[in-house]
Amino acid sequence: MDMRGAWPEDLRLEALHDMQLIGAPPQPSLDRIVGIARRMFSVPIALVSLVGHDRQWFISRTGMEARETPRSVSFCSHAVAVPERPFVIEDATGDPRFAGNPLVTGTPHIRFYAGAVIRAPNGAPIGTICVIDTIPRPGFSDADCRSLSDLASLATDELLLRETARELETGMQDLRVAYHRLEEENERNRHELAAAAAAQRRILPASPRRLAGMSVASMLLPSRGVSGDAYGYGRLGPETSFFWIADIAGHGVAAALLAASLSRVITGELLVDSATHAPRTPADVLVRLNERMFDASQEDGTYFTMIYGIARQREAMIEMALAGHPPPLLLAPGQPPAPVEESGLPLALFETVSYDPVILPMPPGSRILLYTDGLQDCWNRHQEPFDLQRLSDWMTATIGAEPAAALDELERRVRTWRGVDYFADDIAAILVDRDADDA
Amino acid sequence: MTNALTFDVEEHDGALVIRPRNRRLDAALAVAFREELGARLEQGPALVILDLQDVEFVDSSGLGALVALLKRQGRRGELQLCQIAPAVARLFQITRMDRIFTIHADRASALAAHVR
Repeated sequence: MDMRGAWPEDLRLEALHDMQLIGAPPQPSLDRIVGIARRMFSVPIALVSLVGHDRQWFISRTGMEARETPRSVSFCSHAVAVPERPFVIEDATGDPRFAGNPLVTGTPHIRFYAGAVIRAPNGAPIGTICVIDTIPRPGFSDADCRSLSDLASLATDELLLRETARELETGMQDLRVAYHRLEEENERNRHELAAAAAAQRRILPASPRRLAGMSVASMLLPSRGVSGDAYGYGRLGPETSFFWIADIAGHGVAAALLAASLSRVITGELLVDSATHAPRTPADVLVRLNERMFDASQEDGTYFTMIYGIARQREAMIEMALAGHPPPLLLAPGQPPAPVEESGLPLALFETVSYDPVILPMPPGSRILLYTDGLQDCWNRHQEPFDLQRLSDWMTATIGAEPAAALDELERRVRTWRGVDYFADDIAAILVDRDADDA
Repeated sequence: MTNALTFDVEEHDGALVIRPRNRRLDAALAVAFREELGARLEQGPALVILDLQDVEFVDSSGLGALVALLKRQGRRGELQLCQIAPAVARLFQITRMDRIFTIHADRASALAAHVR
């Protein structure tokens, strides 16, 4: 008779191996079940045994010194071969299979044995809970069998619990490792983003700055470390200054890359006619910029809005061209702030564009604010925008302040309005003053 | 924050009317808007009317998606808009998209213009 036939032996042994029970610390819950078995059936010995390839181990035992025996002398090996019901030997000396067994002829002198299988989570019979006596016990009833089976089920449940806890622990460990990796990666990304943001700030012009007949200050409040907003200003010659602001559609790294490339493209080569050395008109500059940045193959390419302007010393006006950008806010002495509404198409969206020149009187003492839409669309916690009215209030309240101080106040007001320490969209602004003593 | 694109599609007198049901057409939705509506346009008639009555806010990415659809549809027909919200109309005015798109007051006048 093949004692290993009831469950494929290799699967049974694999299940046993996977549970890593052999050599594990004692389990008080199994010890309690074994104690109940001993008292319930009034036997001297009760065990939980695991049946391995050539040995059996007693992972919980009472009344028995040995911790393991060869499988060849194992009663339990017979029990796991018939897992569907308890295996009962009422008198071992009368059973030819066991009469010569060294556990019967010698210590512990087994005469009676009853064992019910305990199972791995996949159902494989891996061992038994068994009760053993040194005297014959005729009349082990069906009720006794059911009680022993119930105890075996309890032991099986305990092992299942242990297995679940082990899986959870393994899962937790995997999670901890994964979390740690994410933390590291996140940290790296933060560093790279901070480096990119610092690099981006380095290509922005210093603020505040005095130019030909103008004082300029600027601010950048990026939404995610790097910004899709960009601006620039400087001199085109001894008597002419330029300024620009741009907002790349979208935000984050892709927009920041285009913003950085804009800062590189908007230089003297684009802004000044190489033959005459005269500054190009703002409308001409935007058309040329559109030619450079439009890519017909990129139907869904990123576009941007922009304002470019120039100011000449001793001329009480500025000339600008607007490409789909929010209207700048002009403050002339003795008048309320007024938006400059003239605008043309955004850049890099269409192959052919043209712009009207916007010429604004800028008497000494006037100033103009150029900003990106992140400013007006900046929502507070009630989803109300920091609108034109608040911008006008700020401009009126800061008349006479240096441009840098006025922008500091604007930043303070916007941050207070926002109420949380991050912005949903990039905010950039430049404030251009026509110097009062310059006319 | 996950906010899937939803839209209704109807056909009237040979025109395809698409009504996005999202309140915000922004960076979170722009790619889905461009791709899903773009795919829908390719199967439909030459005239497409985008009914924007539910869309309260369009950001720069959303505007880019609208223009991408306009260009795509322009190769095979026409894309027109109707019933745009005040904030969207303001964005269209600033960016001069009011000169690029044909914009109708509502769906009825958009369809009437087509029939005439």
